[in-house]
Amino acid sequence: MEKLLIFDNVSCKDYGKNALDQISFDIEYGETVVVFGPEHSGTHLLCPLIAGFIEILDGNIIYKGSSIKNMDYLTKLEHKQKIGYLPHAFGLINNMNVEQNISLPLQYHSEMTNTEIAEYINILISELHLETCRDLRPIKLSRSEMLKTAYARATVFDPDLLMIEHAFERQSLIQLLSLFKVLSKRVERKEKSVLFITYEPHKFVRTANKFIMFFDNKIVFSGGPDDFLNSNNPYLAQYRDMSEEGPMLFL
Amino acid sequence: MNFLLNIIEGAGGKALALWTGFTDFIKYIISIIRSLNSMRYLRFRSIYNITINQITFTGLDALPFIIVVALIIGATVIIQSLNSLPKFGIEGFLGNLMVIIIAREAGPLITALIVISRSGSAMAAEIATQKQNGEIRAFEIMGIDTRLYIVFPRIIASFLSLLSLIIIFNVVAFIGGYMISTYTNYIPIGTFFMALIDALTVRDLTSMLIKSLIYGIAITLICCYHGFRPKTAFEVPIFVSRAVSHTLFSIIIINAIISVLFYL
Repeated sequence: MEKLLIFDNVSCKDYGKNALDQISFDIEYGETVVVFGPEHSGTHLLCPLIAGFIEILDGNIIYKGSSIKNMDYLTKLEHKQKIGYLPHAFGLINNMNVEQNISLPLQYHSEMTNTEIAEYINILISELHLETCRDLRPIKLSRSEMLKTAYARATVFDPDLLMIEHAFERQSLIQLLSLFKVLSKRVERKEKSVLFITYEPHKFVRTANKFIMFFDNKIVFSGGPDDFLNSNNPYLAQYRDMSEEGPMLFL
Repeated sequence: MNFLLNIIEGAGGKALALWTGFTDFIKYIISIIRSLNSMRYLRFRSIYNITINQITFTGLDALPFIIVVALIIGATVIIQSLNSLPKFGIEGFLGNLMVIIIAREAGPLITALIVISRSGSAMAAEIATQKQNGEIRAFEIMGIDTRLYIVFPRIIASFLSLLSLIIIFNVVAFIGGYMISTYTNYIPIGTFFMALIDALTVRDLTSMLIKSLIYGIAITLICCYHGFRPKTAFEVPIFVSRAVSHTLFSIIIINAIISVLFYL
């Protein structure tokens, strides 16, 4: 299968300190990848690196054949439009309501008319069951409504890669059924890939094709769902079993 | 000796900090100019609401305050002039004096000071809060050029608001001031306004326009610059306060420079 994203020996710094150390992995078109690991393991740097927010010190990241390292300011703006990024804090704009938040990227970038945008946003709002809160600002939304709004905004351009950072944590999952339906449809599409960054990889066993575990800024495990469930990798076993015994020391 | 060294060290540190701040600000201005390249990605409809909201806040909402201040300043200047000019035998220069004090200097400067204290601080606080809430990062994630999307509409709004407010300030100061002054000193209305019209020149109007434009740009640039700077919520009030004080200082200097360039 064709590669959508390639991490080729990537190293970077975080707040002046050496962070990721020669990381290599790839995501193919249509693949759903779950990246997990304890705090400060380096997983938090992946999405900002792919979006071009963090400078790559060594190695390279290739997205759809283009090197992110070599992108100038304007090319990076174009690149950011092409990927969907749902950050853990959602980043909803507080002085805009749900509808305005979702339509903002279209209002800014697209050549669609206002009527076309409104029709398209109506479809997204209806799919995610956000009708009752479409005129509400983020301050009045529940966490599930905020997540759904942020999801709609991140996928408004139907990007080939969607990155979701810790989004399903601290959520009432029963209220996210509409989102799971939409997300499942996306996962089933052969040309669309999803990258989940999470502390709770077990939630994705049924949907993900690949699991990658980070510890101490390095990849310590990589494999499919069966490997994730059955591997004896000491790092994975300790994480999966929530055990104090193992190579990772937590104070 | 140590005392002297400490003073020199302190002064050196301050000078260095000032220089670093200045070069940072210049880099920020250059980055804004560069970001004009990304104008092709911008649809103007997306900044329409921001511009309108900013005009409403900076211009419309400030109107009552501007009118009251203009009335008081206008009345004070007219009453003082009517009482003092005859002592020097130059009461015929009332119109010139009004134009010099109000239209050329007090009008633009006082309006700018009011805009800085109301809108400049609000602008810096809003951006700083947006940054702390992750909204600025969210704009960047969407491929939105924050310099263009946040700063550019505010420059347009500040310029239009300042221009309108300065004109309103001057008109209210002249008309209202005259009306209030009639309680203490009588001067025929025709004489008063003819003297004003005679004294007002195209140069005065041009200087007013230039001042509105430069004030609009300077207030927005400095306040937005400080709004983008806080790295933690703890720093927000520090940078909002700096935004106001730096803008006030800069506007007073800019006002002096424009006056020198136009009238010296």
